[in-house]
Amino acid sequence: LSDDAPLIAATLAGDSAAFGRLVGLYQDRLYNSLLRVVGEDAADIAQDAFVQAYLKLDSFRGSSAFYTWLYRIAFNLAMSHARRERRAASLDGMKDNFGNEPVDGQPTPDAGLERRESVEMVHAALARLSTDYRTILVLREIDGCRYDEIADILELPVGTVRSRLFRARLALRDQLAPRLHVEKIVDTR
Amino acid sequence: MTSDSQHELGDELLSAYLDDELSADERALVERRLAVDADARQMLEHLRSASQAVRELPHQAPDRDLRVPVLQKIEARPDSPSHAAAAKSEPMPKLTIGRTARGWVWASLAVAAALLIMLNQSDDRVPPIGDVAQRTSEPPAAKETLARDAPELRAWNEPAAPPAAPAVAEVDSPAPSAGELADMPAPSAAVPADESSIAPQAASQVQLGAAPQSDSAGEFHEGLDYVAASQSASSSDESELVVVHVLAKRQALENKSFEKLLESKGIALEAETTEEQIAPEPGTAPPPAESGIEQERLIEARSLSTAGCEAVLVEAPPMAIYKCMAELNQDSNNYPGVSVDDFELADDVSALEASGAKKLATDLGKYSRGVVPQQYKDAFSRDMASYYQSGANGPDARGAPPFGAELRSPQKESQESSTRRSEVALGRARKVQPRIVSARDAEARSNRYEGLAGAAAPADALADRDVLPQAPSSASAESENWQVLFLLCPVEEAAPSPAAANRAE
Repeated sequence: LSDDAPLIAATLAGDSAAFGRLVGLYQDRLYNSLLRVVGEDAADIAQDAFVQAYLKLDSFRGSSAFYTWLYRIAFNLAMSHARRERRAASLDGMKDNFGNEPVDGQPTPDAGLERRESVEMVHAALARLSTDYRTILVLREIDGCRYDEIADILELPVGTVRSRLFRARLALRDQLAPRLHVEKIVDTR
Repeated sequence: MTSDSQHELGDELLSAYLDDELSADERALVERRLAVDADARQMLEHLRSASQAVRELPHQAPDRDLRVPVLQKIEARPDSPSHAAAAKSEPMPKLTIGRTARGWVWASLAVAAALLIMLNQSDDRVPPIGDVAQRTSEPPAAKETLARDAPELRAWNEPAAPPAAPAVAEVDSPAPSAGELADMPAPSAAVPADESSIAPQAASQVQLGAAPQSDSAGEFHEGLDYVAASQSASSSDESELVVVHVLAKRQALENKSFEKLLESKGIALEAETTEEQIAPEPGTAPPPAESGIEQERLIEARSLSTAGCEAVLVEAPPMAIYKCMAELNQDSNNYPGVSVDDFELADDVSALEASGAKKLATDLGKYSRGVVPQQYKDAFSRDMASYYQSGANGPDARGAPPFGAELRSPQKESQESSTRRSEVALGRARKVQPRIVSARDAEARSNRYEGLAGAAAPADALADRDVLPQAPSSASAESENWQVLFLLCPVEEAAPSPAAANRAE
């Protein structure tokens, strides 16, 4: 808040260049997170989120961090986008960005290639999850948000955040099981 | 609860255990389970692997700079805040202070205000206070020496949450146009601003040399209440302090423009305090502390209100303060001059180079505009700040104005959770009687800080402030608020003269 507050105030006073600096501060981080949620449309969503944030800036009360507030806007847009597209984080789109999903997870002599394949597999596994699961995993694992921050961004109870995150991890584990060489636990309970 | 749901709940706890998001009881439960349950350990490992896989994804930046399209879009929108701000400011006549003779006439009609910003901190060091008469008469060199030699002055200015934006300075952003910069001083130190914005001190001196001289400043200063300090040095909070002086037109005060400004930022004006509430007469004041060193004494008791001054104390989050400052800065029609008085920082900038206090003053200083006579700045010294700070620290602050006590009343604390307060009540304001104090006696009364009083303290005692005990830090939402004192003090037709100001000593 303290870092952003002067820029926000200047923006509200009519200095749009100050808002440009806010965009510069957060565009990489926001894009990186949205990329794992909506794929190739991340830049467009991020751009729309910044514009929305600018237009709503007067309603920002400073009770939470600007970034949290911005994220709420961005992920609401991402959710809407996903609902509209039905395939918001389509595998096709992601493959365009990251190449084809590897057929298997066998190690290769080339460490760089192996790393790339690993990244592609994780990204593809994320893409197979529901938008809700992707979103909560991104907020926790990539952005490092605490549960209360996630609850604030997604406007959920903290208890829901906890249970949803657990299920999202389980779902991702199932997707990654071949790569992680873990046996899927058959729930016989 | 079924066995499955119990299992799932148990595994959910494992997930939260990974994130360190469990209560102590839950954590103990999980650890007991992990100690005896191999399946639980395997599940934990799976969850950790899944978590780690996402964390290891490489960071990717957009392939284009989003600033350009974003700024293009917002500039193109008729409903953008920048358009609204421009539309709002357009009808206002341009202020010509410092440029034309008429500008100086406006300046002579101006009203001085002091704005004290106290960032509540959680430790327990006493604010530096000293004799007001001495401080107002101190030459700059003496003040500089004081600031450099008295470590408490520096310690006091260590902010709880410096609002500076060092990261912002590193951002390579499109340079704003000269017009934009001239219209609004940028809040970041990295952004250039026009001369009047970044050098209020110099501007003041120019005005002092050119403005019509009169005795009005004498009225102003003699109107101050030099109330003997009943300030409690054992107050629980330490505050960060920045003083901002505002020149305002009388009509703006009559129209309650400032109150409207506060309200527009979500700061509600509460009922006005009475004279008795603000500063009890010596006879009615609580008895001295056990040390009983000196009875507080009334130095001078002419209220600023006799000169038409008003004082408004505000408690609000930093964002609200910034918004107020931004609007004050923009509203040159009502407020010809705004000057952030870093009266301590300016004296010893080098010592504070790396501290957040300098950044705080720098940030707020970006809202400076126009000119404010130096004698106004001298009048509202730290002594006054200490007085109000004392009052803000709670009902136990003897003889201090009850404003802060009102804002921080235990009843309100119990009625309103900190979370709710931060979300619902953005800020509060209350009119108080403007007074100024010498806190020397009160400070001397304190057992805890005995011998550490400002002007009366021996030189070696000042150094002791470095080792003052500190209270446990508090994480309350209250500590995120700033306290702001607006002192609105009209002067008549002509600007005050420095000679008249000295009479207040």
